[in-house]
Amino acid sequence: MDLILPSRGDGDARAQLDGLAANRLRAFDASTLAFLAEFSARLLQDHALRSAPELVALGYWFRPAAIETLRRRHEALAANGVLRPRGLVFHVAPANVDAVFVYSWFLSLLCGNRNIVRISRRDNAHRATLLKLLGDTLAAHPQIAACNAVVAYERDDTVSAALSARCDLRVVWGGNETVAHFRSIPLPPLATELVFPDRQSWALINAEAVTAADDDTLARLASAFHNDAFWFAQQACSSPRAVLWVGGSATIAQAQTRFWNAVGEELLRRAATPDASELANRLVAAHRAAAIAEIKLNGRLDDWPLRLAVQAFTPQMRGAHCGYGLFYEVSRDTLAETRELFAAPDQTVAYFGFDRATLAAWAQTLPDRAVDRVVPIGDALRFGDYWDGQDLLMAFSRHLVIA
Amino acid sequence: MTDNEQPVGPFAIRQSDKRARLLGRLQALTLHHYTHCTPYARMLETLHGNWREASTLEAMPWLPVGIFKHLRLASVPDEEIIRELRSSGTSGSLQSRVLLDRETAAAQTKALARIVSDVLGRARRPMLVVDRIDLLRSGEALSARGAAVLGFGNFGRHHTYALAPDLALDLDAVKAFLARFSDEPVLVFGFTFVVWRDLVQALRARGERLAFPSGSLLLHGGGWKRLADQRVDNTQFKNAVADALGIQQVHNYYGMAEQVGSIFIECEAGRLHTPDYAEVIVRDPITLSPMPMGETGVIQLLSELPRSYPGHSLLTEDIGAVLGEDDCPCGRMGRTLRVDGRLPRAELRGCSDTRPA
Repeated sequence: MDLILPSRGDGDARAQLDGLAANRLRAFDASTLAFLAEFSARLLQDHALRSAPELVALGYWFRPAAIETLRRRHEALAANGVLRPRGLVFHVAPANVDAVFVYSWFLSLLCGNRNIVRISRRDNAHRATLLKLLGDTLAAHPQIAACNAVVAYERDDTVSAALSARCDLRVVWGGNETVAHFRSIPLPPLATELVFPDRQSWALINAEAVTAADDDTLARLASAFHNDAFWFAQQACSSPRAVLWVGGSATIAQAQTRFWNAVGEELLRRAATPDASELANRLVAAHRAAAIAEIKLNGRLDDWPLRLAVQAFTPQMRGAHCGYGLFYEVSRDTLAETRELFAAPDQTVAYFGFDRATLAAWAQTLPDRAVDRVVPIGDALRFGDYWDGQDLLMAFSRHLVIA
Repeated sequence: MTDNEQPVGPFAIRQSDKRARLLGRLQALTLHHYTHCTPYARMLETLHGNWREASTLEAMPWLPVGIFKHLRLASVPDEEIIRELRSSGTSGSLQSRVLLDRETAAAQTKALARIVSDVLGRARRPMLVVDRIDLLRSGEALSARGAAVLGFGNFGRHHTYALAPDLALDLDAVKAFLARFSDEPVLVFGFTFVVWRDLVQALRARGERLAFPSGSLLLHGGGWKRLADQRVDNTQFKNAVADALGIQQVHNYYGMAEQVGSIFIECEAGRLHTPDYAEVIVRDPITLSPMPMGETGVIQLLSELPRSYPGHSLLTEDIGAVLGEDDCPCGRMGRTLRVDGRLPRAELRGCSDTRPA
């Protein structure tokens, strides 16, 4: 096991972990707020990270004004007593999305917890820059550094078991397999667990709103959709993989032409270039889909994005989705007829052209576990302190009742 | 395919005749797979809607080769399947599954024999297999390496394995083989990377040089990816083989588990040759349009051999260029090919993978 952060003279991971117990923080501790303010400022000033929108968003998310909003909410949650930290939180971060481990870690830190964060060794584009920035910030805040350890180790159950045995809360991000695997590793009786398995997401579009939209609105919609679908190569849990069109068939046909033309223009405007390896992945996914379901090719096989019209977005098709700009398109006459399309793994529905009251009524009719977020198109990837149906401020805290 | 339709040699047909001949055979195969393999029919109807109108090789429908990692595709009843090939390739952990019936397996064996004997001659030579001695003993489904050793093993006799089960060089076995066959040319066969790492480099590490009998030949295939990672090219490979083994005749081949038999073998002039049973088309990696000769793109392979599974037209993830037609200095007819490697793996960005790379 390697200690990635904080940097210690002896680099001793075990000593850092053993030292965690001796340190205490309060929720929204002044030292935590100072640390996060510096982290946010450094991140937003870093030129190398400007090209990574998800990291810019991360810096923005932890700026002092946003944290003040969280603090007030945290305070309100404690109306019947006080919110205390859980204690020691063990976070297992996903390999491919750097920002996620920081959100999970810092929200937990804000709630007053000490943290062990396991990150992968995979070398992502901005990983080294982000880690250096975190290391520099921690070095300036020794009290925070003493309460946290970011580690990396090859898949090793004895290490995972030892870390699980000393934690009060285990947070597992990333994938059904990983969640299932960690669930087989015991926790202390009083510890709890928060898991974030595989999820899938949709875009939901009112066709009439698209045909009625002026050119500016349409261009903004295309730009917002681009962010949702293309920032993480359509592979984040919240990235829309299926587009659900609501309207009459003639209206939908018209809206689709307008919408996809606008998305094409947006790709051109951003000088996004199609990638041969991504095309190869799309081709395999499209052929898999054709073999298992009734589909219709909307356009050509070499189109980017590649569009497949389907009757439903079945579990099999979800499994065969590769990301990289492949969209299943489903059409229904009315919103009421869309209910049966949704299933438990559905996380985010990013919409255009519906009002909040309509969506609220509709959401009440969805199957039990289906859908945790209904957000405007453009906000699908925006991290929130409510995630996968959990209030993270609450989940990272213990509610001590005072009557 | 019956015997009297076989051309005289594996590289005998001029390009103009070959295209017309292949077109008819491949169209018949498309119809055969369409009729007998339901998932294939669905893929054609949905994604290659005008497949019936294909009047050139370029217009023929194809499957992306990666589909065999996800679907079990057969165009014959299950009870006729006698062998299943598995290949992990280099990208990802999923294995391709290729299902063979007696007829297809036999056609593959025959095609391979004609191609290899064109380079090697008809006589069976003593054969040193550069792989682990227990390769063919383990597992039910045949690995691509196992299948290749079985297939190429037909061209040798007194098969001797150069490596122990842990892939360590068994120098005693190799030296005993050389002592026994010191005055006749032998055949050395192995996967490119295994030959490089476990024979050539292993000999170097021990400070050993071997002198294989003159006229001996090394035949190797399986891809250059891992050697390219170490910045070793074909010339360096050949020089190192000459130095470590004393073998001057080194032939690479290009082929894949999804089209066993119709391999592309490197001639004396260093070009990979398309056999009469196959054709190669290079396509633009983004638009998929066929590219002019000499230009680099993704490789599509057509072969008349796959009958038990719909693998007669495959869009690979390999990159290369067609070098010429009917014009190789070695005298073989048909297209010659250069293979440069693979498309890079697309970057994974999802949040659902915590497994270490």
